[in-house]
Amino acid sequence: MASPLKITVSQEQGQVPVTVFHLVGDIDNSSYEELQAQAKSAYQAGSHYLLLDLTKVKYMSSAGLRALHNIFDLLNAGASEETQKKMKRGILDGSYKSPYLKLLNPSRDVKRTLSTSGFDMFLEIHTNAKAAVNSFN
Amino acid sequence: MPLSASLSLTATKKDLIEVRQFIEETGDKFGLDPELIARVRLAIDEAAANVLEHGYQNRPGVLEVVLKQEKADLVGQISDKAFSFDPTLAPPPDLSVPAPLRSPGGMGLTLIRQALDEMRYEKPLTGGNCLIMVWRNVFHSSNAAG
Repeated sequence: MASPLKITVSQEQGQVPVTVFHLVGDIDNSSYEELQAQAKSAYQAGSHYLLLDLTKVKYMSSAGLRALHNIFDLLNAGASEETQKKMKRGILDGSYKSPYLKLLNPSRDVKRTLSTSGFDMFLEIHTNAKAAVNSFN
Repeated sequence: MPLSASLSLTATKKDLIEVRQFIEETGDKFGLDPELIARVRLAIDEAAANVLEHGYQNRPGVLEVVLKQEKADLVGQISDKAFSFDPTLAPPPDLSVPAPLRSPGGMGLTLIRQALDEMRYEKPLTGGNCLIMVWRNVFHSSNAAG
């Protein structure tokens, strides 16, 4: 059933420190700003690697895509001009995956929304939490 | 008897959850496939969110959602009293540009279009808007009574 979004945060240590957002509920037009705000707070507190655990997200609308895009931009904001250029080249040739923002266990419906919009082209999707944390470097 | 259910509320975006619950419960009552219910939920949630955010500009406004059987088809209808806007005429985003290089947002209508078979707009004489969404051949001929 449809349910409001709740976010809990944990810190994990892989090759680098990774902040994990455990999301429960729906990411919709009324909740995406909360997700963005929490990501901004984490970034300002020093988090640069963010894993969004979507295991318990049953529904995500285009507002969720908007949040993912804004968080992606936020985490890339500190990159050098050269890195930004390299990233853009990688995005255009389809080889780029964000080293800063990754997703864990989206449902079939959420995956469909990600693929319809092309977000699965630049965001890694993991199915194992430990492997996801260890993939950041 | 053709199946029909409606939800009427003065809504803000906090009420989208109630709209989705209505779709899920009605879809179950109609005996729809869960995969179809997910597509109907997405299309109607996105359309309702557009009305609340752009039509009513985040102020409370009247929203009516109808889900009904028309012969073999499932028809969803969203009516509002916001200023007139025909979303079927809105240009789609340029999907040839990779997602991270596009402006954030603007994917709602694309998701709606991919989730249904047909979308029509009607401008009621009493004002506001009515968006009609159709999913074809949902009901088997044995219960397609409408």
